[in-house]
Amino acid sequence: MKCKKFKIMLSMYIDNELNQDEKNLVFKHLETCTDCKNELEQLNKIKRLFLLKEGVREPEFFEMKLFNRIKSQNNNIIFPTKFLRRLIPVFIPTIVVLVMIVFLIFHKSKYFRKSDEVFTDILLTEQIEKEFDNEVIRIYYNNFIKE
Amino acid sequence: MNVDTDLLTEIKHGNEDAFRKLVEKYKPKVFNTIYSIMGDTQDMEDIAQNVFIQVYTSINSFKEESSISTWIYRITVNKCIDELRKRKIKFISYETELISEEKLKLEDIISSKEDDVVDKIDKKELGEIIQKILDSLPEKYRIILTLKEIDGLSYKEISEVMNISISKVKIWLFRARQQMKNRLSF
Repeated sequence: MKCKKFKIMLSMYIDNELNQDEKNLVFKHLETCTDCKNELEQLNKIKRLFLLKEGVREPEFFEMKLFNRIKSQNNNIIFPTKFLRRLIPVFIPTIVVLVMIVFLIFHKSKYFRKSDEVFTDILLTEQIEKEFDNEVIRIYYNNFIKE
Repeated sequence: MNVDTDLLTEIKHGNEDAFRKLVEKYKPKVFNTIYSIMGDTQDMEDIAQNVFIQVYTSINSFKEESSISTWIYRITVNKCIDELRKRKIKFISYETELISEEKLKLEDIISSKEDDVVDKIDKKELGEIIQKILDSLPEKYRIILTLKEIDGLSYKEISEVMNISISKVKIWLFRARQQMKNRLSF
């Protein structure tokens, strides 16, 4: 195996990510390779540096500010309701008009007649007029014959 | 049942105290991760707040395919990446090269075999030097080193947080350390 592969394994070794067989392989290689031995030493130095690094100082009142922000966000969720409330003056007339339209649709037969009903009416009227005409003619001729 | 699972169940049932406990537990980890990736404390608090707000608002959609800590780290890393993208347009820092004095100081510290070496050095200064080296690395190497060395995650957890394969974790960590070695001129 080439040294580069061992160097990757060394990086895994310091992270404790090698199984026992892999560890044995690395140990065996280190016995004969000074370059990899130096590499391991340097990797350990880097690891040590991070261990010496102190944690960052937390800002003051973090929780208080965080929970205030969460509360204000929760209040904003009510926003649509507030928005709807503002629209009430527009909503009420719209709903009234809609109710009227629905009412008229269901009761249209009362207020609007179908076209064929109108046609039947016309035919009836024509028939009545014709009968009336005939009656007038009959009366007229009867009178005429009498004279 | 582990503590995180208990907390998660409580939070999902609307228990605010459980969420407070979760914030208390993960706050130091979130701050250290943000500081290490961003390189300064400028927007640290804002980013941390955004992290916990996202945890709070999307906790009901968290499917528990990963642990809650992995999920919180993923949110933290993503928030940092978003912020870094915004910053890249604004300014680029050139102050990432170590001066020789800093290099000597580091060499002294890491080659010392004394146990009380940590007490003798200015921890704040040391932290700043290490951060400077981290800042000089490409974003992906800085993130992976943070997750490994600062947060102590396993390769599997890192692969879940960064959404990359375990093989990639091995290679990126190896390359990140090589670059660190070069910066330190070992």
